[in-house]
Amino acid sequence: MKNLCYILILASVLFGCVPKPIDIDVKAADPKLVLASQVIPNQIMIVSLTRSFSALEGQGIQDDDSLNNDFLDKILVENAIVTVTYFGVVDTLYMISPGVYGSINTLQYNYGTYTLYAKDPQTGEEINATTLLIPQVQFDTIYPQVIKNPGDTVIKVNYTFHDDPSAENYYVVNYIRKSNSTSPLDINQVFSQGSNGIIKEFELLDDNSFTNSIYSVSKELEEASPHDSIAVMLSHISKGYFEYLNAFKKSGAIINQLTGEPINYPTNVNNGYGYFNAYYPSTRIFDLNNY
Amino acid sequence: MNKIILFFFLSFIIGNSFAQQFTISGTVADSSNGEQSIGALVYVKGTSKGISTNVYGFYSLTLEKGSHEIVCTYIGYKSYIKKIDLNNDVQLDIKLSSTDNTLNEVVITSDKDAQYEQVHSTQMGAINIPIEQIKNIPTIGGETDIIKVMQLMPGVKRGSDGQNTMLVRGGNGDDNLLLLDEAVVYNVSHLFGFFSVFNNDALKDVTMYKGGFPAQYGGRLSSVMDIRMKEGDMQKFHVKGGIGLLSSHLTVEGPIIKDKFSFLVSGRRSYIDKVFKWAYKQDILPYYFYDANYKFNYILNSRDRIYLSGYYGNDILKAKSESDSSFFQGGFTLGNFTNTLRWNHIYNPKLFSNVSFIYTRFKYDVSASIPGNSFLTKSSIADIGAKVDYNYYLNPENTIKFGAYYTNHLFKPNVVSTSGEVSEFVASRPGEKMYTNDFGVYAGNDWRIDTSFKVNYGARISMLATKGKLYAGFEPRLSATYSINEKNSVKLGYSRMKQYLHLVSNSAIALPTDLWYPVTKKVKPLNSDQIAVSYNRLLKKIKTTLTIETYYKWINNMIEYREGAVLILNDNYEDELVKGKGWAYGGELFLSKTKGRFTGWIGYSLSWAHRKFEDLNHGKAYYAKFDRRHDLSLVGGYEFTKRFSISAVFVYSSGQRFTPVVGNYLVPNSSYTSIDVLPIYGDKNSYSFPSTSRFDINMIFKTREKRKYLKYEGEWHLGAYNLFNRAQPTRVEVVATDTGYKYQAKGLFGFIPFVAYNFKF
Repeated sequence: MKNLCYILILASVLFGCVPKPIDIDVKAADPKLVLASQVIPNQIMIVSLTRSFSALEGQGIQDDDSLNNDFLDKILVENAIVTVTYFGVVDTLYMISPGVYGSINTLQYNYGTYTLYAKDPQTGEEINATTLLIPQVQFDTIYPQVIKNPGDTVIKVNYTFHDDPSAENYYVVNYIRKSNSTSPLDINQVFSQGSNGIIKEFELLDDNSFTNSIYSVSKELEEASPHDSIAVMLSHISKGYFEYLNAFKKSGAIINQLTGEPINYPTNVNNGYGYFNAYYPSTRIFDLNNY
Repeated sequence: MNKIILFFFLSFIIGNSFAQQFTISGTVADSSNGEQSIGALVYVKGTSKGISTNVYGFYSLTLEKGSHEIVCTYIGYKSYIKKIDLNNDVQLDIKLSSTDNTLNEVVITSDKDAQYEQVHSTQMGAINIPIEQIKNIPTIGGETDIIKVMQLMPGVKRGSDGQNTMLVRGGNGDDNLLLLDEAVVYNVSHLFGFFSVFNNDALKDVTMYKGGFPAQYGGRLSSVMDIRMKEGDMQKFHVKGGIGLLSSHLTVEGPIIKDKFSFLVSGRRSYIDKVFKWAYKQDILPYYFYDANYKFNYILNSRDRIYLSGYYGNDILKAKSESDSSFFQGGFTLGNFTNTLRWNHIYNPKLFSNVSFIYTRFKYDVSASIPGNSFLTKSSIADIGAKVDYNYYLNPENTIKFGAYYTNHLFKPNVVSTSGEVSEFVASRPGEKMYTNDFGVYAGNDWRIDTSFKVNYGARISMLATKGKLYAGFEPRLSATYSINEKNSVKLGYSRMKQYLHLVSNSAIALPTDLWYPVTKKVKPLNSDQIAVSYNRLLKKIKTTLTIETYYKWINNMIEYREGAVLILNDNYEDELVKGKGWAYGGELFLSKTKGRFTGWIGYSLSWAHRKFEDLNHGKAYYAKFDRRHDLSLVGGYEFTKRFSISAVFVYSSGQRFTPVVGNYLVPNSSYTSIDVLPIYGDKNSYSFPSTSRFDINMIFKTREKRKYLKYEGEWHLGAYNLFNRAQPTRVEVVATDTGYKYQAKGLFGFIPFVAYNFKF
């Protein structure tokens, strides 16, 4: 009798059908311009300009983890009009490659207001965004530590830096690793090498993170190994970009993706997406083979 | 203002100005087991004078000296008629005999009954169902679930497919107060929301209010579901049980002292864990739930009665994985525990009181451990309180209800205990204990102005003391009925409701870790105002009532969660909340037939539910997630013979709303070392899933074996949920096709057959 009951229950589970899904249409958002920017101190202001795309195409990228040429042609904005205005000066940025624009003429004034304008010649879409050029902050001290315990090696990076207590400041610290490097890490080439073996960890700091205006930490890099090269980048950023990264960090954890609320990321780009930034990272690179 | 006070004062004394009057009072109960009848109608034949029994089966009717023919009617029972020469106060305890089954119904003609009362009483927006009437309605697993039955009523929308969430007249899922013998049940679900915690075998009656709230109810904005347990047979021992595919249940009741002291004990356990263990020889699904109800009912004397009742239930998952190299153990336990001690006292034939002492608790713990590491988080809410309710039957025209309540709430959210390396990421913490004190008073009068016009008016003053803040609210209630003639009436109602706690739950999925939190200094109480108008018609020839009702509801101080809010283990949840408002309106049609071989109802609602939050959806108004424009339910049961009947449910509804990802964009990360794909969400809840339908069926075959000393009855239930295997969309997915990708709306449950066997002796 007991077994009969079990068989009935199992049969119910097995005969229970999964209902046939229903195809639905969701109208894709109209493509808009997407802006990202970076400043290399006293050298160049770089702006990347792409177009947003439908979620169905987005699924394709996430499944394949690769960007094919047709897709890149579609989203990289070529021959756009891109200008940066500051202190009454208008600089036109030149296309370095499709989707990437730069200007070596743009002078960099700390706390100067920079307004970017871009127009997509293909769609006629226009965007503009304004940001402050925030001065660079340097590490006071920074050094890595390789602690070899029996059966376990711990990699740490120790650093300190100062905060200006008279102003509201925000920072991001990025940790980058090149695994088992036989050559030193070149921070300018990491992007082109793809994301393999790179730690994507970052830390956000605001005024509350400082004690007596000093931030001091011994950060363990769990994924690093004794033969890696590591880079630590300290960037002094705007409040808006801090909030953008904070939103990104919260929604990035797997548990939060499952249980968190949907989010549209903050942007300072009018009529577009992304973030217009002008901050100088301060970067320190270490070959752990030497420690 | 003085004129208004004078008006109401006069309404109290008008009825007392008559000459000699005497009171007939007593209780109405089932003659076979002594079970009290809730809502039985006691009236004087040929007049408009009458009253319904209260939730303890008590009634009181004051009449002029002389001869009166007293009639008592109650669904499923033969009418009771008795002639009384009234020349002093009389105690008349009425024992009703069951009609046993509708085929052999002995009908004594009565001009008033529950259907008449439904049309002509002042109560509106209420649904009352004796449990016996819904036991054959098909549901998943073959076990009738009162929450799922309520979801078939107009104005009550179900949450996602199979879930027990109720969305009432544009409210949220946490706007509903569920009371089991007056104790609040905080978590009403087993198995992640697919079964309710209410075991039908232990229940007697359920009444749901979605508008026109009487003054004695408060604390939630959208609905009150008042569920009453059986009291236990005062005369004979009975055993009742059932074996279903997912769970089995057993109830024992009987007298401890005949006609004086009875008990009822009921238990239920699921065994899907055992089945999978038997089939696969290992704990593939180590999950089960159990619950138990108990009740003791002691008659001290003709004026005093004591009840002690409670519920205890848990959902348990105990996962274990063991190998040579690793060992993992984890799971969760969550459940409710309620206890209610009540004392009924009749001061005199006109004054009835009940004093209740209530303890209720909901708690959960989630744990996981591997060698050297462990994680445990616990949360709970526990209430201890008392309330007193008085029913004063001033005269045939006025029945006054008044009372007071006090509840102490203790919230203990997010207690965390960790050890080993995991404690470096999640630190142990005691959690912040929060105490609130909830108290108030209420009074209401049901006033029959004349034969065609009745008013129920009242108010509730509610208060809540939380850390550093005392909130107070005035909640006026009014409903009025104008009986056009014997068959037709129109009703008007207004209610203000306040709510002092809310469920912090993300909008994507319901988790056992969803937590109740009190209002605080920053998070203010929610309040709603609702007006409703209804037209009611008694279709006597076909034993049917028709109600068409429209409503408009405003909700203030609603809370939602910020974009990207993370709520799990978040003690600073207040920072994740945003404040806004909502409004909802619609029309409902309810055609109900409760007598005869064919019974059932048609429920239809056409409704709109809006939300507006400055910090969400760019400040623009948007539709609520369960804003479903059309909801149609057809529920029917037909008794072909004494031993064979069929019940069926057909549901058609517009799809629930969702916020789609309408695009993506690429941005470099903050170190420019890789590219991230970020989503672009459309306007909040801007899309609807497709409309859908579902058909469920249940065939009941009764077996009956009469033995010399034992009357045994059994019945087989054979049926199917979602017979036509139609998807009830609850989520949208992007799926790959030969040519690219497309969107698909997916449902959870398709065709699910069931078989169950119920018995009693």
